[in-house]
Amino acid sequence: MLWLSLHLPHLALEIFTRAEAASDLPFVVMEGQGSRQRVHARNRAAAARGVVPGMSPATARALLGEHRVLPRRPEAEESALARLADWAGQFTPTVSLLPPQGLLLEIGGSLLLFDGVAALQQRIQGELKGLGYHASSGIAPTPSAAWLLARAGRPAPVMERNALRSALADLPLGILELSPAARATLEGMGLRHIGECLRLPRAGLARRLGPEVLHALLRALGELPDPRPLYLPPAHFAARLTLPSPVENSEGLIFAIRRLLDEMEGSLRGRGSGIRQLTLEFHHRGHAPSRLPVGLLSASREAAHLVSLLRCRLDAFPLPAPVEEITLSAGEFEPLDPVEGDFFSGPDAKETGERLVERLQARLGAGAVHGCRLVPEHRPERAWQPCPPGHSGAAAPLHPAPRPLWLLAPPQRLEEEGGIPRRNGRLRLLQGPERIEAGWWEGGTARDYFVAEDDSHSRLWVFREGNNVRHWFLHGIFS
Amino acid sequence: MNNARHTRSHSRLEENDSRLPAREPAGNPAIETLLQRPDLWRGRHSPLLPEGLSTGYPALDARLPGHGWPTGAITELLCDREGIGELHLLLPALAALSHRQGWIAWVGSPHLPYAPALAAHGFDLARLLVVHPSQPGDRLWAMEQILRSGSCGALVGWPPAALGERPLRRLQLAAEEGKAFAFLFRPGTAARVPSPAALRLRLEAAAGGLSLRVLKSRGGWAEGPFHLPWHAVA
Repeated sequence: MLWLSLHLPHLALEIFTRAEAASDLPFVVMEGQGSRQRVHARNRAAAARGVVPGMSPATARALLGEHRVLPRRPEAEESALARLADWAGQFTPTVSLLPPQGLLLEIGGSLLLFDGVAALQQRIQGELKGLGYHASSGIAPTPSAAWLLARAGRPAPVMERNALRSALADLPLGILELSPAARATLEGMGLRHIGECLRLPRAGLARRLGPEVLHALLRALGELPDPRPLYLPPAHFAARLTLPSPVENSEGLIFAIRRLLDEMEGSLRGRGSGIRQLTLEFHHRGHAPSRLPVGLLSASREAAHLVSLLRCRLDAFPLPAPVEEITLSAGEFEPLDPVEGDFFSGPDAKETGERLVERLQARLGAGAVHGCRLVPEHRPERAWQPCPPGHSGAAAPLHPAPRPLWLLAPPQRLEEEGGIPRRNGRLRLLQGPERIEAGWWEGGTARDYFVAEDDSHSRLWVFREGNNVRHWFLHGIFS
Repeated sequence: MNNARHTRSHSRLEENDSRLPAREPAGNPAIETLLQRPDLWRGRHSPLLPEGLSTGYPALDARLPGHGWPTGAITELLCDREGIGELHLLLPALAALSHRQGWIAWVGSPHLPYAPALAAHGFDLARLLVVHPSQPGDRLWAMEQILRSGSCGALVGWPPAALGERPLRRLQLAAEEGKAFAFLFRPGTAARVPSPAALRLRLEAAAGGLSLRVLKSRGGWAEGPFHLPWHAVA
């Protein structure tokens, strides 16, 4: 067993700042209530402006302005951590939470699939960065040791149990989460590093400091069992992102949405599923939230494709006010084929065909993009129907008689001269009559169809209709 | 007489072919690479012109370099009237393409294509994609998306009348990238403006067929008007 632990020290900040691209805007998170609020965390740009932890909110706002100071959201941090655990499910099925700022992944079983420890570590850290989180990682054969290494910022993997003692030896005792009393006692004894603690006789250590210190060390070394509860992902994906300042332009919104979609892609990949429907809600101050539903023709999880669809839809979506918060909720999970696009040399043709139709429909509207289906009907205008592209069915046309490539809807009335229709001159009737009589139950009358030619050699499909007074109409053009 | 000239030049072509390897200097790599360039014109003999899609009309195939519609490029069809057979010209090729992979897209057509007629010509309706955007700007966007996607076999489009060279060039690049056939119908006045299309044909009505003129042909040259007869109506 090999464990990888992730420590996210700036989680309180990053749940907000990950929604923006520019990192040179200052941002501060406040902790506490009412008059006892103090600055809890600030980013680099805010530190450069002179904000320090423990400052009062009034001072911070004076330095930075109203919008860039927000209260801390512990419940948002919890749900962000849970979603990260869900996202990490694409690397291993064994994920545990280490609240408030840590995750544990059992990667022993994933090494073969992900090309080894170094590659996996790099990939996880890289993708976390892509989600907007900065984490330090530690790899060790026991979960506690991995967590200690992550907290101390030692990314080098420790692969063997017998290397653990030396790896943990020079870590400061502060990273063991001990009670203040125990920590004070250790400091009083002059112990600074874990290695020094381990050299002391164990019975004496347990008697002086209580069993907790010893047990923590033994768990880290692997001499005591250290079971961790497994994180079970929920049955639905729902994510919320608060923007550090209200955003109006679509590029800013797309950036934030992309973060959410990347997270969703990771979670779905871990489950081997895709979604066919998702809903975005934009929350504004003083207005009701705006909802944007998006539907897909076939289940997908690719963030890149979803972003391009959303970009088209957002262009035409009116927002009444700047957006402060974005919520993404996905529809039902559907199993997705395990083989994805770049496994073979070229993309799957059917999938790109559907993607194209989705993109066209996203921008032009579903009614402007369609295929055609044949209907077994005698009346020409009813012999076809629009249908979803590609789903035309297997019907065969009813008539061997000539049919024009363009059909006019509705048929155009033609003038006539001496019983012969006119359109830019007299028409010559070449073929016909073909009598089509149908729809008597709807009041339709018999029509005699002719193929006609006009003076400029255009071929037209005309008919004469009516029982007593017979009028001529142009129904189609043979192109 | 045109036909006679063609057969003569074809036979001369064959003689040239057999003589050509001997004429080339043996093993000079610089000249070899130069001769392999597709933009090098060597009279009628263009060894690297890709095989075009047969139009279905042998008389037209004979006049087109590549013996058919150019792949991955725009063919412009300039005509002023409808109903003279302009779509009929494309139908054999489109019907053949509809049995392969990829959409046959109709963008911005003046009327809706009539499915029973398409089916009667052997067109597989499962490949039909009709797109009719309401904005003219969206028409060009849709054409570019479709051509570039790689999932399009052919596009038949009616671009807005005032089409500049830059949008045309973008469409040309999109067709190359997506390896699709692009057929654009434009008014006759567009003949006066140069275009990056690989093939430009001027269509005019004629009794019993169509009168065609090759205005521009990549790898070939312009031809005077010739008559292409239909074999049967529709």
